[in-house]
Amino acid sequence: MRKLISGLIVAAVLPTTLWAKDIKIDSYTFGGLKARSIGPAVMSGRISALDATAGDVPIIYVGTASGGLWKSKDGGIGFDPIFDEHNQSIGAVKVDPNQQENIWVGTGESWVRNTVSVGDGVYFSDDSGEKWKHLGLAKTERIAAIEVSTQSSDTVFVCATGALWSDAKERGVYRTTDQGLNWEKVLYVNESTGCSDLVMDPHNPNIIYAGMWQFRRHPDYFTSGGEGSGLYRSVDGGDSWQELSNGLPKGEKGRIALAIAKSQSTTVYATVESASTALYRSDDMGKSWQKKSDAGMVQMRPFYFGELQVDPTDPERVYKPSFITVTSTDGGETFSSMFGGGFNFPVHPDHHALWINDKNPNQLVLGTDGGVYISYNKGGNWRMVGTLPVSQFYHVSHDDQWPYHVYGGLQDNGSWEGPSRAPGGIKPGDWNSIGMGDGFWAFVDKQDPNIIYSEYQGGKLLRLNRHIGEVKNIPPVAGDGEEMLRFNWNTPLLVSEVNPGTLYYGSQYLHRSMDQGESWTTISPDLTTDDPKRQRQASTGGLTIDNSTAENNATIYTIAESLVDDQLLWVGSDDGIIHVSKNAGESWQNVGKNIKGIPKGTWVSRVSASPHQAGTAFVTFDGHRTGDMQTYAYRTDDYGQSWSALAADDLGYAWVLKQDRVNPELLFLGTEFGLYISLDAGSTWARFKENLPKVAVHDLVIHPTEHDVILATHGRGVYIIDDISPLRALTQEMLSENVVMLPSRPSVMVEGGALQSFSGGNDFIGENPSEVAVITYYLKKRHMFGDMKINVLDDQDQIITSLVAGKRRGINRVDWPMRLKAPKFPPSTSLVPGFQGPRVAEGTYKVELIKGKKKYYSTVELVPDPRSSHSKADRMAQQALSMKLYDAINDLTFQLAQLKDVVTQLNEKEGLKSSQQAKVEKFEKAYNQLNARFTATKKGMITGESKLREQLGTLFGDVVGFNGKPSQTQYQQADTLVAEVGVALKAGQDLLDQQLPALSKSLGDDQPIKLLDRATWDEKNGLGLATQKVNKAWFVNGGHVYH
Amino acid sequence: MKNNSLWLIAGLVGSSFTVQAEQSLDEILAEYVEAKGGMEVIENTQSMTATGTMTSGPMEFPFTFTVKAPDKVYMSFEVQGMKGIQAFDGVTGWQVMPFMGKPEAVLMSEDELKQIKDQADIEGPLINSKEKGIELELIGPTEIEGTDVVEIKATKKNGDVIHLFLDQEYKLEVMTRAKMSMMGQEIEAETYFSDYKEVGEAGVPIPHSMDVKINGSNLQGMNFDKVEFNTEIDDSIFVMPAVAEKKEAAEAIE
Repeated sequence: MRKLISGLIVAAVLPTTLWAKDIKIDSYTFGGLKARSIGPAVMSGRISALDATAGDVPIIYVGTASGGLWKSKDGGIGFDPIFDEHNQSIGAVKVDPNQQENIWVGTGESWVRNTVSVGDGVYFSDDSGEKWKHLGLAKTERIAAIEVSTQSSDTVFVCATGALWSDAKERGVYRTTDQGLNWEKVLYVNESTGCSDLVMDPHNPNIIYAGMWQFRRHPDYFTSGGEGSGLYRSVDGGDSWQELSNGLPKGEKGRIALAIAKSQSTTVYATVESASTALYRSDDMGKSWQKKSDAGMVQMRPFYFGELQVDPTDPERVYKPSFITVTSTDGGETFSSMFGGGFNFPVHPDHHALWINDKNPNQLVLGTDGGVYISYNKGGNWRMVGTLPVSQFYHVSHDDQWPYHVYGGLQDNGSWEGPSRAPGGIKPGDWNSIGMGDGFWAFVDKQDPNIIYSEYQGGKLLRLNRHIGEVKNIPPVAGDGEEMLRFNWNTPLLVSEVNPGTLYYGSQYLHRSMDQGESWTTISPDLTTDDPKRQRQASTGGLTIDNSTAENNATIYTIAESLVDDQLLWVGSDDGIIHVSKNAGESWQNVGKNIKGIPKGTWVSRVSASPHQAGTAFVTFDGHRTGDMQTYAYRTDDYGQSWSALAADDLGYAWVLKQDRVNPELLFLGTEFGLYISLDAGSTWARFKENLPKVAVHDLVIHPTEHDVILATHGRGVYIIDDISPLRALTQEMLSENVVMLPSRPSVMVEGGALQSFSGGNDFIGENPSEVAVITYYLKKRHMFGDMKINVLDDQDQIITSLVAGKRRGINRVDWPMRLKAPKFPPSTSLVPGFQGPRVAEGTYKVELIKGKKKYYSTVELVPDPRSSHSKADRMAQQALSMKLYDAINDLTFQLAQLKDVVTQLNEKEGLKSSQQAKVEKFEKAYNQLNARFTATKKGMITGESKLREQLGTLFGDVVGFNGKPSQTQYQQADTLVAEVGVALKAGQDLLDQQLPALSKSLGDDQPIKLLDRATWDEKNGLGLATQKVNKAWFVNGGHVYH
Repeated sequence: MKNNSLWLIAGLVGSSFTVQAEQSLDEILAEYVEAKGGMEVIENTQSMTATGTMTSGPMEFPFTFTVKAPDKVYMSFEVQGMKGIQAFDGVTGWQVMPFMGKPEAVLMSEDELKQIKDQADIEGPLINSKEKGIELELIGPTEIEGTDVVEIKATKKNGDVIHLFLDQEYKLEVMTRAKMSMMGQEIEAETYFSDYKEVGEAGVPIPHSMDVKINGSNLQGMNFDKVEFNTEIDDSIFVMPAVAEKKEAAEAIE
């Protein structure tokens, strides 16, 4: 039933010219093939930076770790993304205090966890975020803070943390005095020390404090602290800087966070990471410092929780966002604990950004690993923002139900499942939590949909009984005397598609379970380098030990199976090794060493086997953790004996590459900077950007029966590109044609829909796919001149309906509601629920695209909802009654219109004799009486008046709105009403018969009354572009099948 | 470009197209005027009437649109035999929205008035902009859905801004983007133009299809069946009716 339309009809095309063959595939080739965001926002994602205008209704700017910049104009209920075509990792956002339309953005998050993204410099908007200019500092990679002088919008300081995985000179404090045209580096320590925080005295912008921080991350190790770290101050607007040390720790320092008391700006607070991390306070502009609290929340993870704020009106009230946000009301001496002080509310932990309204310090906006929260009472309680779908997925999978559900794990937000479509859109309540911790891979058991596998950081594996909600821990563990298992932060799990019932799980070994994880067999030797130098996680962190499993290394990172050979397995490791087994794990060959041109030890981000040919596989490498940002994508056709590089090297570091299941030339590549598609097996690539931001695509799957591409984005949740059938059909030759009709998957005639709910504007609602038939074609160029429209035809080539055509360059998609146009109702004083015509019957319909003088043909197939509980006979019964009522309504309307037309003609006549006038008035009176008998004529909002027209409309709406057999009551009512229409028609005809001859005679031949005929009326009231007669047989018999 | 060569040029789809060197605003406006039939034709166009169909999702409504220089406009549309009207007579903006049981004409809100005044300018903001106090700024070349266009920003006397995107080759509107206020909230309206056809003796290209997106979502389509210039139009249709019109307003356009 779900087969693709095989027929692809291309008609009347111009001859291909040599020139035309050079048509470039670019983002616009994909045209109206758009991605849709299904969220979720229910758990949101990591927020890295915040700023807002201080006012009664603050305009809030939310910078996210990897989901771009968002803006709320309504005080934090609704948010819109305003940075989708730029770098999605936001380190800093700053509203110019002198001019609130000026917004500065520093890209590259500075909360440098293992999975942090990279930025590309500074952006500026002078119109509240409508348009952005890139203002340089592109190599700074990450920016922790931006400050604008309170005296000049031209003078701005950028606190550049700089590169995380490599030495770099592009870091420190930069200053511009010409609004970003030129930059000078005014504070710099060395190639491994960057700026961690920067504050400016609001009353004297020449006084600036900056924290400098020595830090470095490796694939297997993180270190915070070193000789380069220190706290600096300038009192001359950044020309010169002095290190501040009086009262600060003597030894090596790590990350420093800063806050200045706006109400008393000689008071400055700093958290200083050291062997004994603590809060420090200066009341003399930094000349001397006193050690204050070293509470747990002050000491925790300084590299990750480097935020500090002081109440703008109270210098003694200090907020320390940390694992949770704690507050001091005594100038930093003591902080409320995480179990008291008003903060033990259900707020997601891990807090990175806090904004306090200068004009109303009761109002706080807090950014966490799980989205934004807003408080109106200084943090006493919080409302979560529900409109930020910035969830950071690592992976995604799907099940086989209709509609299918997606499953996946998220950074610090567990694992979730949700539907690919839902009545009225995909709402927060449609999503279900199916795991915990940091989630990664999640799958439904192919043989038992009640069972879901998910995992959390460092190799913890869970099996969930979905109905009960009970989880069992099922990871493999080392046997007695065996080497400890090493699991990656993002441990690979594969639930086999080709061998149902088989699970694979990777440590340094590959493990297999055939009993839902109850027991495991190790089916490989160590498939990594097992290099001890890569196993330093116990001491990772630098000044503050931070062994969260995020630095686990020398582990298997990716597992792939072949759909065409059930014995074939591929494994790739985070230390650059690729193995293949052709015998289900009995023996393994190291084949990664055959790849040329890749630095040794580069992380294998994904291996995927070709669904077409056993020896073919694709692999991506990711060198960003050693500072290598290049795109690496390779292909083998001989089981890894030889490899060729695909022509992609500057598309961002690569996460995943998949070959289409149908068209082997069609490849999908997910990188840190978006989704790229190749129609020619990797020779050329174009970014897919229709409704898809430049967000990291960590994983993608192609649904085998729905033909959707499902994207796991790390920062914007799950996106779906519905039905890629047209992409599969698009060849280089077709691109040079002016018009090409393209296939679509069969259109499901969805039953049911949303009932009423009024949830306000605080929920993100995921977009549904088109719930109507979709007609697809390609245009080489935008249509500008002359007619262009689409007709849907019956098997006699008569037009059923006409549609407005899409005109854009590239692929166009046009919706056909699969319905007749709404019936024509007589004029009245109230609306009735008859806005939609009857739905047509299932079947295959012919489509005619008319562009100028040329015509192009294809077909569209309508299939019943797979969930339908109605038999075909019942659906046909519904259509038959719908058509009966449809005809009755139109008949009634025509009869009344015909009479009204006579009245209009009579009223237009001038100079009538009194005898003539009397006859005219008699007719008009009779018409008015008849009209009032059959239609509502009372005026007012809720008159409750219901005549034949209203009763017919209501019944019609009820019958059309349900796809199965109408009820007996409805049949009875229909009989009654249709009979009454007969009465009305007769009454109308009687009126004409009784009065018209005399009238005509009285008026004479000079002024004949012309009776409106049905054909003219039909034509006049044809709704839509074409005024064609409806071939009603369609609505009962369905369409003839064209191939 | 002469008017009657428009079809010839339109027919050259598929010929190689070289991106022109960046033009000045004045050069672009001159080509725009020429594309619209020349200044004489534009200034002699004193009225336009159009009929067609409005689409909104699966629903369709017949509509009429009449504009008369310098500043009069009348629109009507029909839903289930009930007729809605929006009109402006140069002074007063009014409307009839009988669908919830209120058949009398009522005055427009300030936001609505602003929008209908915009529609009353038959020439559009790029023609005689100085006389209208409209400030034009050339933003430069860009793309709309993959089509090369040139962007011009028009700032009206009242501060309202509309961006016009003209096809790089034909200098006709591909899209306009306007910010407007509704109940104190700013919204963005994008109108996409296509199906240009020649109208009137001078063969002026008029888009017969428009798609309106509000804040990025498709709101409605408008498709013209018939467009005419300089037909005789009685000024009385633009005037807000007194009580007498009430009865008729609730009735259909038959």
